[in-house]
Amino acid sequence: MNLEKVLIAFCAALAIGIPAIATAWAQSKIGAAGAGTLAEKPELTGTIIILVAIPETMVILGFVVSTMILFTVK
Amino acid sequence: MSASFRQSNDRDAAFPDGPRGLLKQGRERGYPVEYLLSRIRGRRSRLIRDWRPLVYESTPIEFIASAQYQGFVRERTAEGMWRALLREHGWVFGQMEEEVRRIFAPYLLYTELRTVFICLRCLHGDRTQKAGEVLAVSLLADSVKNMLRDGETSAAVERLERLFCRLSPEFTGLAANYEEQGLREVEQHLSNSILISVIRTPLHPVMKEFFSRIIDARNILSLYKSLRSGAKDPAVFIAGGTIATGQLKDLLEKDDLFAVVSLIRQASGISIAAPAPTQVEVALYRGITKYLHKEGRDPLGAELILDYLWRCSLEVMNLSLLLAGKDLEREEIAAELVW
Repeated sequence: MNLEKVLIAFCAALAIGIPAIATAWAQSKIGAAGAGTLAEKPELTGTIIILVAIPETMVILGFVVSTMILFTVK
Repeated sequence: MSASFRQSNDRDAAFPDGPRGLLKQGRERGYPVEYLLSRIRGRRSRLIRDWRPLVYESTPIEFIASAQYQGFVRERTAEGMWRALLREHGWVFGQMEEEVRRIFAPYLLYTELRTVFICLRCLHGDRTQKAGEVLAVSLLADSVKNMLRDGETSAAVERLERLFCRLSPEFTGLAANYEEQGLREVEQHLSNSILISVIRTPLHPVMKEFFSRIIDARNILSLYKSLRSGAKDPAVFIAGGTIATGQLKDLLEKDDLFAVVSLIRQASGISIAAPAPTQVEVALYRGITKYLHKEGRDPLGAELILDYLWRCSLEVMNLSLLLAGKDLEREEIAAELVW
């Protein structure tokens, strides 16, 4: 019984942890490239903000999946 | 750092100081590669793409001064344009991370040879102030700059020989060249030796390919000049290009000037009708430009930076040519432009 709870918690942690790391990596690359683009073409600010925000969806989905694991898996 | 920017770590063991040792040292850490690539993509889009209107419709000086031109050249003299190129190189260098600087050090040092030549000529003609102006924007290390700032030309060449010999023994004999044959021979020796020493070291694949093509171009030009002038201008071939030096020597022995046309096609993919002096050189440079332009399409590769640096050099070269040839026939000028 206790082992099952540990496994569920571990899976939930993985479900949010891995997308969080991937998001951080993607945002670091997109952020650096975006900063370079903005330095040359400031008119692209809106586009760059959207591009930086796109990887955020990964961690949001990870959070949803993690919550589902915690509260729906019995 | 992306995979395309990595190179082997045995570089220093094989090449103690490396070309990087002769370039500016500093504590500036530069910026991430992704940032630099984005900035370069933006700046590259501002360079002149189509030179035809500039040749036929307006004067280059007016164009550079107009708001239409967004590039980095603002100066109105050939010397000023060269300084603008050095400043642009300095900007790119300042934005690079140390590992990227090491990758591009051979190219930057190769370009800075012209600074060395200008300074030596200035010392020769007692124009130390002009040498100082060029050195102010140069990427050369302080140790090299101090040698070229003032003093006797022969002493400067001697000091240069000692310093460059730390890079490769190929540079031995520079001072003797100066004593016996003058500055022209020193320049020839320096440019050949830099190519020989660079191509023998472990290079990033992009730099390796680039220098192979430069060596091909140089060998073909040397063959062409020698065939045209006979024994008066002996050919010097450098190993490391895609065309074997044996093949070049055979052609030299056969005394076949038209073989140069097929060599140019082989090395650059560009066909020329006849081996005319300007056509040969322009075709070889156009071949390198075409290759870099194609490779530079990769938005995340080192090729993009090299393509930009090369195109900056072409921008300055073409604008200087337009400036110098303002009284010449437009067709003649158009044939000599490289893009």
